[in-house]
Amino acid sequence: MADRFLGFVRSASRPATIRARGFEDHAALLVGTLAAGLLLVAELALLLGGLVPGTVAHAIALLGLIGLGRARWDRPEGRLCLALAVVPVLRLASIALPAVILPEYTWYVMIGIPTFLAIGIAARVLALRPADLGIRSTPWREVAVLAVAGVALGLAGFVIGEPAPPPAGISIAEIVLTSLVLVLFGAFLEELLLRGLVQRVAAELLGDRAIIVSAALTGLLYLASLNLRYVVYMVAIAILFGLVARRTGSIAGPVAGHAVLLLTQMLFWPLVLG
Amino acid sequence: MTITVTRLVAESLPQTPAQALAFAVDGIIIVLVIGLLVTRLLVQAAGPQHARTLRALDLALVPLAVVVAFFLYVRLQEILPLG
Repeated sequence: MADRFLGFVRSASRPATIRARGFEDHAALLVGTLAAGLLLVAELALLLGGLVPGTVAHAIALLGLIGLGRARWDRPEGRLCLALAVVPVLRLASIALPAVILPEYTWYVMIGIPTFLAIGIAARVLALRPADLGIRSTPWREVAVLAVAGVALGLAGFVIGEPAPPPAGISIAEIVLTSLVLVLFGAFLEELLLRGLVQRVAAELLGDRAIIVSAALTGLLYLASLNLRYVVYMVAIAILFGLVARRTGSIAGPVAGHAVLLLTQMLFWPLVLG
Repeated sequence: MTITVTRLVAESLPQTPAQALAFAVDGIIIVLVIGLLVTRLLVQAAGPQHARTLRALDLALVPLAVVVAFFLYVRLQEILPLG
């Protein structure tokens, strides 16, 4: 078992087929630092300052990333800025769209639609095909292994993350609907953005180290859980999913693992364990 | 990722029609979208050599326009009791 795991890690560390150009000059390094700084400040403004400072900071981050991307259009750091511009769009939607008059699962549909749209436009602007984003077939065994692992990962996520329990008296229909929303607008959306788009475009700049970018971005986006142990846990999972996505060139495995993780963490384990 | 933020946001959501009408976040996003739209129109008028800028602007403008459409619909439902 240990040998097989080590073999997987070794094979996952093979060089990327995408040729990494690296930071070709100081300006490229500056652009990369600015992009990371914009997102970090925006997220901290949301967490520490509240909704209005967070909205203003994410709007500034969005304009900054678009501007940096346009200024360095044909360079990998510029392309990464355009891919990262989807993140403030997601955050602005997440801040503006929840409403007390609507059931919670509809929030994720309303947030997911503009985010999918932003990912699609980013992919078109960056001339990436669906296969480049990891939307391609992969051996079913890989998908099955990660889906099964998702049950255990979901239990750990339930223990560490302490999610809010499902509403009392939730009906079967609501469970099915919530499950569909979690899979499509939770797992698939997140993997498409972080592993499919950001990690893929970051690989043009950083090669193998692109996994660090997607994992760091995952950590940044999970800071809002206000639970450091959960943030570290999700970063570890992001590294695992990043390695799988890089090795297979597909996000099918990570989506399966993430979907089962979410379903078990948010629905199954809370209903079973209380 | 989305859930963590929406849980954070949920504590500050407008609870009454009057609060929904005065929700500052909506105003900021509407100003941003109008600014992006005006910039896009000006860049478009400047000529076809700015096609890349238009594509970059669309990356922000199009999804945010959908966000605005969604929250205008939701806020309308929230403030209707005022009428």
